[in-house]
Amino acid sequence: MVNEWLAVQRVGEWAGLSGERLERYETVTRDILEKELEEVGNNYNLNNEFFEFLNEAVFSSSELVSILKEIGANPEKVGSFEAGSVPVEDTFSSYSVVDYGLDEVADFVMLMKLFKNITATTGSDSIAPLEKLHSLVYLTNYRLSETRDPRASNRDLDFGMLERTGYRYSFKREDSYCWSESLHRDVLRLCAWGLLETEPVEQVEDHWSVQYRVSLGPSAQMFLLRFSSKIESFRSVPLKEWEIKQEDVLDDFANVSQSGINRELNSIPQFTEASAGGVILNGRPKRFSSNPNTPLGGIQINA
Amino acid sequence: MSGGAYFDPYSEGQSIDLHKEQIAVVCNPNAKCFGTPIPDFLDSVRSGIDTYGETVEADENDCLDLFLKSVPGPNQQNEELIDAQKQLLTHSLWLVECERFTEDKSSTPLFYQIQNLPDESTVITWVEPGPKQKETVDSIKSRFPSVLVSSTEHELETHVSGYLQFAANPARGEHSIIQWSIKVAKKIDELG
Repeated sequence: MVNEWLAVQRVGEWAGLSGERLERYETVTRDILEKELEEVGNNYNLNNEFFEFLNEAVFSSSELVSILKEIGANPEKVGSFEAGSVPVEDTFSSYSVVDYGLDEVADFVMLMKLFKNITATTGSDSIAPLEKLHSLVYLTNYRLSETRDPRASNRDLDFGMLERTGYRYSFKREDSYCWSESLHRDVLRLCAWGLLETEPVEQVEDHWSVQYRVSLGPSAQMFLLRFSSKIESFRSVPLKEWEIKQEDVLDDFANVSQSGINRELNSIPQFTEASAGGVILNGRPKRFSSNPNTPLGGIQINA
Repeated sequence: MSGGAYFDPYSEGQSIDLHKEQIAVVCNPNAKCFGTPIPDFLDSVRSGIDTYGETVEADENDCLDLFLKSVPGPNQQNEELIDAQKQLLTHSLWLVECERFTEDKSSTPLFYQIQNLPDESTVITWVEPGPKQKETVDSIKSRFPSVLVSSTEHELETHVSGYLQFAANPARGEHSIIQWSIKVAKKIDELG
């Protein structure tokens, strides 16, 4: 059994319990589980009948059912306990649901488009070292920030097109490269869902700092098919501008080594003037929201 | 022999009376969980397991240095790196402080190591109470869906004792212990 012991907790949460009520349920259930394993556990093949065993010998026990009633668990769910029909497997699968907002999806899609385009440009399906990915994303946002936007609401902020489009990631300077904690967090999230893959580089390079490579994962194609068509259907000027800038950056830097990219960074005043750890560019400040009636063709920018 | 000098796997169909579990503690030496030093916390978990010493035992090993050695970097020797990764693989339960998940420098290597553990292994962490507790728990769960994240001492105890009592205890999970050990030996061999 692989982590099936977690079923007790998952089922408690499924029954709507939390805090002290969940603790009370767990304590009682584990005691019953221990006892029943000794008494009737041998009647089951616990490698593949553990959930049946839980339903028949543990969840339906009168002792547990009366505790559930006492602590005020959802009556309908208590009924499933009594009947020994708790959908144990479903309580695990519900943990795999992916639920992202439009802003996150926009970032994810553009990140994956970056990988798709880099394969077309370089013939390699991965980016290494990790700071190169951060540099490419930074340069996309930097170029957006340098593009004058006649619709910008506050020119004093100097965000240029980045006020309305681009990644939400803020970048800081590390010693010789740029880095975004929020981009890094999203890369790991995408890896966790199989949309990207990461692995250490085989040959450690002296001038590289974060010696990992990233590439599109097994689930990326499905995600791109489903969500990039959604994003593309907006046909909005801001998103197009984002895509064009990203493609320009890839044309200019996809084939350039990290040392070459570092030279480019050193030509940008915001980078050279920043001390280590200092912010060099904030992310897009405005959020997208889906509304087909807006003049921007489906994307409403909220200040 | 499969597993080499690092690990001696069980064989398929073998009957196990007592399994000795190795817990990798990837934490700073003075780390505490919910105010309790880690060794004391693990002692208390062990003492709550009825069959402890009869069917299951668990030693803890400080693995923070080993984990840091397993991270590729400019000054890292390949041999040392592979050695550290092999040693870490022999632990099926990892207790990892939450800073390792939240700090940029360690989160990528940790992600990679966890991805390569056999499915039977379990990684557990905890987040201390505070204004950012929920945000941190959600953030770790979204990036590391296989990691068990605890918000209370009770939950952490439940996770560790649940693993030792059920998954790592041959009286309950003999099959999964054998499968875990065979996979570990294979992964060690593959590392070269």
